[in-house]
Amino acid sequence: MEKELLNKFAKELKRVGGEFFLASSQIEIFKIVISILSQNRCKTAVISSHPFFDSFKEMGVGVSDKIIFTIDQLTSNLGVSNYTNLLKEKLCQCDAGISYAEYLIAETGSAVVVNTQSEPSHLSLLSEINIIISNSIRVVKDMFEAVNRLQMENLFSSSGCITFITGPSRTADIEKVLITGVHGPKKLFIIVLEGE
Amino acid sequence: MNVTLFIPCIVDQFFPQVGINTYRILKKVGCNVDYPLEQTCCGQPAFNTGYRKDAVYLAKRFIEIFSKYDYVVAPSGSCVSMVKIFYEKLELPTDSQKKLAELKEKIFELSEFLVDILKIEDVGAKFSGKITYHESCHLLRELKIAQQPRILIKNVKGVEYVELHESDRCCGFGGTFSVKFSELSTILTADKIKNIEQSGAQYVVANDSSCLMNIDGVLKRKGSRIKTMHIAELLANGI
Amino acid sequence: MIQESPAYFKENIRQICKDEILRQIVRKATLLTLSKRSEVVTEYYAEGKDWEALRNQAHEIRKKTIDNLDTYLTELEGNFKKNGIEVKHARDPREACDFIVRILGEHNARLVVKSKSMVTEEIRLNDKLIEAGIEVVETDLGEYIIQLAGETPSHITAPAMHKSRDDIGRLFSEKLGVPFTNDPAELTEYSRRFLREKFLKADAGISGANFLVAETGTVVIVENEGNARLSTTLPKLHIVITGIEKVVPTLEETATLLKLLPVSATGQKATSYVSFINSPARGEKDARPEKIIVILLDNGRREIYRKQGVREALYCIKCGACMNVCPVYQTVSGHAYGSVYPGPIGSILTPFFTTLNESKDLAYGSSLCGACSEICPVKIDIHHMLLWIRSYAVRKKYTPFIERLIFKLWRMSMKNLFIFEFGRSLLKLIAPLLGSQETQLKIPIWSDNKDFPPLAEKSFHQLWKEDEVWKKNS
Repeated sequence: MEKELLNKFAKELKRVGGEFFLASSQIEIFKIVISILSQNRCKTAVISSHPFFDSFKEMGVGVSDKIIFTIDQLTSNLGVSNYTNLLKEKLCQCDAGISYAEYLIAETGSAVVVNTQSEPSHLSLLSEINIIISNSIRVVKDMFEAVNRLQMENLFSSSGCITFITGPSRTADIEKVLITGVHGPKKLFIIVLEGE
Repeated sequence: MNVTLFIPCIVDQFFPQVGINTYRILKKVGCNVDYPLEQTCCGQPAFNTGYRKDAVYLAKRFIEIFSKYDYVVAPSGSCVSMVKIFYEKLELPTDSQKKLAELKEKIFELSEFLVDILKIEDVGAKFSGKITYHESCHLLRELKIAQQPRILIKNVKGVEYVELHESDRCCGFGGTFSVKFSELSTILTADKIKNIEQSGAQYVVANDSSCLMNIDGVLKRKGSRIKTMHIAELLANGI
Repeated sequence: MIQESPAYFKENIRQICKDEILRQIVRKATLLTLSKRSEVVTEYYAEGKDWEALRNQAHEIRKKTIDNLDTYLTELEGNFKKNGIEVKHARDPREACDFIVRILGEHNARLVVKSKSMVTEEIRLNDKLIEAGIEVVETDLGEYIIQLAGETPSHITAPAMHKSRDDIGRLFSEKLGVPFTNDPAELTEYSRRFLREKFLKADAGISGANFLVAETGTVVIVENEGNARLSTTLPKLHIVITGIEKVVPTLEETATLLKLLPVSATGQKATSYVSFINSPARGEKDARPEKIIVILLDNGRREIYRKQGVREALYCIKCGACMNVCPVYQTVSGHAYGSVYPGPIGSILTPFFTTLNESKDLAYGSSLCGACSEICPVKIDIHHMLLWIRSYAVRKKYTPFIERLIFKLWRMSMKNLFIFEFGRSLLKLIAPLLGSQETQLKIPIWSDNKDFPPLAEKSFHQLWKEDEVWKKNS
């Protein structure tokens, strides 16, 4: 069942122009992330402070790679006044944003990102490259299931904003020609960690 | 089986042969056919233009005349829709409403009556020619009749049937619409005719004389050799 | 010149009927969207899901909501307040605009970014903001194009549908000073660069809403470009303006509508982004807006609610499918209607957003083919409601005197067989005077473009009475 949902998710994600990766360990995710970043010539990337990424620090994120920064690193010398404005400007300068998805929706190939202070909405919005990471057990059948789970976990009241992301930013406003990256990411990569 | 004919005004005044052929088909399949002489219009022109009060007079009259029969059959999807679907939207007296509820169950469009009630899919007609079928909007979307006419047409011996691209797209008639918005209506009819021409058919068949009159009007003005034909005319051929 | 008033509907149509290039652009665009839609619907059935059942479900949700509108609005308002979102009611465009201008003034907002919102078109917000000296930038690509061109949207989900890539190329080079290109990718890249700067500088973001969830106090915004996300997360102030009918009782019911909306609008199973906005920023380090204000607009919606004949029009989730599928819309495109909401559903809404007298022709500009009702994701009986609007115009005596007289006479003749037959004889008598021949009858206007058949020698009625031969022979 889990496998089936995951296959469906991968198929639908490809259909909307996203790229799908399956990883068996945190280290493998880290390697995939690095290779996506280098292939897309990203000089800087910012990663969410979601607990999922705690182990990344041990792997040297923001220390040895000099590409990926955590939000804390990015904002370490920002004062409280004008903090949010400066944060947004900094995020804009990053080539890639790395977010965590609470759920993945098989039916539509969507990622559900619960935006918080450590997971600002802008991570999946301002850069040209967006990498979203989640676990295979977080794949749900359809939007109904996603909404129900979010409600059960009280995430609608605890998060200021939840975003369902399906593929890169796109438009067809000029003669119905599909163009990606009109305002948000031009490319979307989703990496799924098998198991927990 | 006793069947009562409801002949729409446009058939009555301009295309009586459609009425005659409807009669002949029903006789051929073994029905006793009657035609109440006091019938006039069902009121659709007034209703469609917004004159509901005027339509009420005719609806009451129609219900009074037709509700006493076993089966009422008409060679038109549009006029049957008026009775079956639109009469409900009128403010009718309780008595008429009661009779209408019964009438709605026993009034049918010709092809629907043949296929769904009489279970006849081949009336034994013969016709040689390449035919395509235009779906009248009321027939298709109010009465949901799509397959019955196709079955009957395909079973006519000698007919080469081709589907029409965008067969369910309006021909641009729409009653007073065709006069109030004449240029627009003509463009829609031209779209329809382009599709008919591309189908390669010699004849375009439909179940409503109003659509056919509209399509034929532009075909004739163009000097086209494509002919319009009411389904009753096709089905009465060679029987 | 196309007039921006529904009173000029007929004149506008006459002009556009001569513009073959425009007709081709719009026809192509609408058909493409429709074919994508039907692909997804076909796939639904192939996967064993029932699209029709989903439509029925959505219809019931909308019916329940609108029938109990005030109950859900009260619940919504309570939950908005709990979440720290301010709520304001506006009766008409003036009230809404005045309020927005005042709020922007209080926040010293000089630059506003807007994401696509038909309600702001309805209240003509941009004009009012400019009058107040506030710079306002549309950020949806289609709307941006329209704003640069100084026009209004011609479609509710594809505002620049009527423009060719060459039109847009010329517009960009003229207004933005960039080298001419008609490549959609390059044009899109220009807009990304120009607009990103505006997003970062903007003092406030104004958006509409697709749904307002009563049980959680959530604003739901559906989009593809990301401009709505940028408009609603970058500036410090976010103003939502939308119609009272956008309320949905629960999140689960919202999910049903979210399944139908993108398929019907653009043939996508899901749009790139759906934002569920629950509250303003929490804490100093939350980069989202510090303040969110929701304005709930009436502007004739309660009047629609009170009229049972058209109440269903409030079920509309603004997908635009009825426009795409309408043969009239496909041919004349949105501007012909001279109203903010064009197409079949627009012809029902407009009489209540403007006046019936100036917009009554819209309801007559339909062949009543019913394609709109057939495609509507929430099963609004659109074409039957157009008939209701016509009857409303007749009741108010807004139709021409001569037409009313004709129907009176017609009714009399149809009620009385003698007059009925007499009328036929009279018609036969005067037909030649109108220039009719044996092969065709001359009918005013009709005969300008197409032939009309001749009256039959004998009516069916006469044949039945007199001629027994064909009855016996068959």
